[in-house]
Parts: sequence; structure tokens; C-alpha cells
Amino acid sequence: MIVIKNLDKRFGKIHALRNLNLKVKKGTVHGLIGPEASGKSTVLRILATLMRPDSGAVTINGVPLKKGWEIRKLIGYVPKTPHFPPDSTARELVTLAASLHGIRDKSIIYHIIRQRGLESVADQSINRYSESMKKNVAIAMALVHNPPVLLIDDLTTGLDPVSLGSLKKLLSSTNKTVLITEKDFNNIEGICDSVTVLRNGSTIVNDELASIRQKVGKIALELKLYDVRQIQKLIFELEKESVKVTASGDSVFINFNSEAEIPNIIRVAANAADIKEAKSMKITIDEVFGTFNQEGIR
Amino acid sequence: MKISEFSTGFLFMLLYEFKRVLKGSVSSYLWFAVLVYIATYSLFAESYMQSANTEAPLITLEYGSEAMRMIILFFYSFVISSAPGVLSGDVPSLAFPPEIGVMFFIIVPMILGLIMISKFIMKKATVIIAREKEKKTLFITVSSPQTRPAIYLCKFIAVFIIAIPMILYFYFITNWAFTGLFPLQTNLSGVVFKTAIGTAMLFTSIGMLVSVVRSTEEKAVKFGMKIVILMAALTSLWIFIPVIELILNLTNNSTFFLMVLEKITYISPFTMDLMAANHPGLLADMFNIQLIATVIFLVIGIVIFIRQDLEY
Repeated sequence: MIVIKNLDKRFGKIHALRNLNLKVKKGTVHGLIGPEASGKSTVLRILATLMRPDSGAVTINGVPLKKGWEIRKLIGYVPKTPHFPPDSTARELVTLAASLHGIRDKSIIYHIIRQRGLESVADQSINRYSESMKKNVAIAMALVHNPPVLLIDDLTTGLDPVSLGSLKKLLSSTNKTVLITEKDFNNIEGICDSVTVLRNGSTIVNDELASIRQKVGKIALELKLYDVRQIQKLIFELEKESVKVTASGDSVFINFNSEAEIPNIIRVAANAADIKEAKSMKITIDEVFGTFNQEGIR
Repeated sequence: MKISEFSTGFLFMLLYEFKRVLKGSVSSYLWFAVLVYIATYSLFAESYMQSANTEAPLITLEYGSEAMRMIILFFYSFVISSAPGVLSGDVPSLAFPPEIGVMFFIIVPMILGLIMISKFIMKKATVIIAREKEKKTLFITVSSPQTRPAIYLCKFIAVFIIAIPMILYFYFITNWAFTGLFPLQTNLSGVVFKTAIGTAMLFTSIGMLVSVVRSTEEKAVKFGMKIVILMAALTSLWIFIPVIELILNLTNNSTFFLMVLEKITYISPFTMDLMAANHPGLLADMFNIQLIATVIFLVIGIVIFIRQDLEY
């Protein structure tokens, strides 16, 4: 469990974190969402004891941040863009990370390298690795001591779709407490149990992702039709269901009031027209800011 | 974390740092070995001259001016011979007094060796943290259960160990020079060994402090090198103070400021080393001063490192 109370951090004149409060329940995945320079990486760096807060209290599994070496034993930290000494290999680095935790069992190192798909390149120089492979090395190093808390800075940066998929799978099946940062709401879909949206170091909203989506009012579908001539009929049928419908080209956009309406609307649409493609509309950070600025910080 | 786990991590980290620091050191070792060897071997010129045909002219170029030829011959003879012999016009004995030989050893191979060790150490120490901060690789160790003081000490030990082969070589070559050239004089190999250890420790701690406070590798190395050059310059000044005093006395000028100047030159560890070589009785004090200074710089460096924010 991660508890952050009134966390404040300044870098000279820049106020990076303003009185931040956050609670991540044990065994859950929490997302810190925000644009660049919103303070999300600073939160992770403070939790990883790379930085010192100016004020505030932080505990991880009940251990205060002041007990740095105990904290670092509990966490696995994955930086946004990991950098490694040139000419080192994945095996050397994972072995080093294991040794720094007092682990000498080679089978653990072998297992984690295999799990991150680095087996075939484990003894090659890191200079020849892609960004995705480097991030996988950092993830392997963070996981090698099986920490109860995982901190991942910028989940999707640098990771290829296959590695991202396997990581998402790992996160959804793990019982670890995970705190991840991300710029885009849509990248954490299906991973995070809850999210905190940050802007300029302040909390804009702290809630479950579905709840935020509902508050933003962005429960929407885009339907593409085979035959443009069916659009008028489709709009007519959908408006009977009291949903807001707009059309553009061969697509129809439907806004819902609640997720419960979706199955019925899709059934109505399928009866009224031949649907080529249906996809959910993406929520943007600006829309979240727009909504929650009007309502005030919650 | 158990002590055994912590010490395993510490030893592995030390090995890791040592391997990284060792990279690119071979050429420095070779340069050190060659230059110190040449500088020391040049003291054996006396033996050469004794076996050489002294009847043969030393300067044969006919277009050289006669006066300049005489000046060169005079200085050459003066350096390798006893001064009264040369001045009285006797045939040069081609043997300088052993005390002067020892002095030559102190101001040439010894100071050269110490400066080379310090320069080498300074470069390694200034790079060790600044490079990691710049390249953003420090997270590997800093986010591990190892504490920052342990990481700092580990790097300090790794850099210091790298200097050990140079120090040992320096010790053996000094021993060789003294047993071969000045067997009746006090063998300075022990003094050289201890002063080299003290100086290496001190420059390692200074270099690491520079490495912690500077943001890039280039800035850190430049600053570190400036420190070594400044220290070497102060010691050179210390060596030349008697010459300055002589000139000032000959020209009836005040020499009072030289006392202050001399005290300033004591800041340089090289001056301390030379003083210890001249007066081995001072060795323990000089070593202790360097040790205390090392600890002070080390503690300051650790405190700054602990309080430093690291960005990734």
C-alpha cells in the first residue's frame, strides 16, 4: 500500500508537486495520468528515493520514506527511458540488480530474462538493443527480487506492442501494488483499477477510470457504415432511443448517458443499417481537464 | 536486509565498479611505467659516463658558436660532476655527490610519478559519478537497497584500487634506484610508497567530490585537472622559492612575502610529499594530514550525494 500525504516538491522556482495526496491500495494498479511536466515522474522518483521531498509524508507498506534502504527493498523501479552503461549485457545487468538485493540464485535471473523475452540477446552488448529491449531489461531488473511494489514510469514509452501486451498481462494478473505513469488515458484502459490525474503538480481528479469517463461524458461510439444512404435511417432509429447522434461522412457518432445503454443501442443500430466498423471514442486529457476544471478539484 | 545480503551486494557492486573503472586504464599504466622508468634511469647516466669514452668531444657541430658550446659543456659538467671540481678546472669526476643524486630523484622521478598518479586518479574519480549522472545510469545502484554512502564508498575504493599497481611499481622502481645508485643513502622507497598512498587517497576523495558537484563528465574532468595543475604549480613554486629568494637578496628587495608564499604552497599534497622525502621524520605527520583531508572530503562528498536529487 502506498500512502502519500501533502507531498510538496520544488525545483528552484518550479513548483513540481503541490500538496499531493494519494493512496494506492494493496494489490491494485493505479495510474498517474498527466501531460508532460505535470509532476507524475517526480512522484515516482520520490517513491524510488531518487529524490527527496520538500515536505509531506510517504509510506510504502507502512515503511516511511526516510528508511530508504528498506523502501528500496520493497520496490522495483522502471525509469521512463532506461540508460545503461555501454557494452554491458542484459544478463550482467539483471545479475547486478539481483546481487544488489543479495540474490545469487542464477535460476531466478534466467527465469526473469526469459519472461521478458530477452533470452536470445541476453549476452549481447546493450548498445545493439532497441528501446523496447532496453525497457524490458529495466523491467527485468525491477522484478528480479520479486518486489511487492512496482513503480513504472511512462508505461508505454519505448515498449513494442508485444512487450506491452505481455506487461499488461503481467500487471493484470499480479497481486503487486503497482503505480504507473502515463500521458494517455487510453493506454491504461483495462490495466488500472484507479487513476489520479495531475496537472502542474496538483491533483485534478482521483477516481476509477470508468467513473472519470462517465463524468467527462465521453461514453461514445463511432459506427462506420457500408452504405452512406443508410445514415438517415440509422439516425432516425437511434434518436428514438434518446441518445445524441451526429454524422460525418460514412460515420455516425453516438453519445451515451451510461454504459448500460450500449448493448441496446448496438442492437438497434445493427437492425437499422449494415455496420462496417464499431469503435469506442477515445478520451483525451484535455477533455478531463475541461470537465474537472469546471467542477473544481475533487 | 540481512548483513550478509548487504555485503554480497556491496562486494558485487565493488567488482562491477572496479571492472568499469579499469577499462581504458592500460595505456595510462604503460605511460606511467615508461616515463617513471626513463626518469629514474636517467639518474644512472653517471654509470654511463664512467664507461663512456670521455676523450670524445660531446658536441661536434662545427657551426655552433664557441661560447654557447662552452656554456652547455659547463652546465652539463656541473650537473653530473662535483661543482668544485668543475670550477677549479679539474677533469670532471663524472660523479655527482649522492645527496644531490637523491635530490634529483626527489624532484624528477618522484614528483613526476606522484603527479602522474594524481592525474590518473583525478580523471577516474571525477568521471565516476558525473558520467553516471550525465548518462543517467546511476538509477541501477541508487534504486537498489544499497545505501548512497555505501555506493559512494564503493566507487572510492574502486578508484583507489586502480592506482595500486602504479603505486607498487613506483615503490619497486624507487627501491631499484636506491639499491643500485645510492646504497649508502636512506632508501626512500618506503617514503615514496606511503606518500603515493596518501596522495592517491586524497586526490580520489577530491575527485569524487568534484564528480558529485559537477553536472557533466566534461566539466568534472576539466575542474579536476585544474586542481592537479594548480597543486603541481604550487609545488613548483615551492621548489623555486630559494632561487626567488636568491634573486631578491641580490637585488636588495624584501623577501618577507616569500614566507607567506611558502606557507601557501604547503596546501599542495605534492609539497607535503617532497617535504616528507627531504625529512622522513615528517612523513607520519604529512600522511596523517592527507588522511584527515581525505576523510573530510569524503564525508562532504557523501553528504552532498545523499542530499542530491537524481533525475531519470
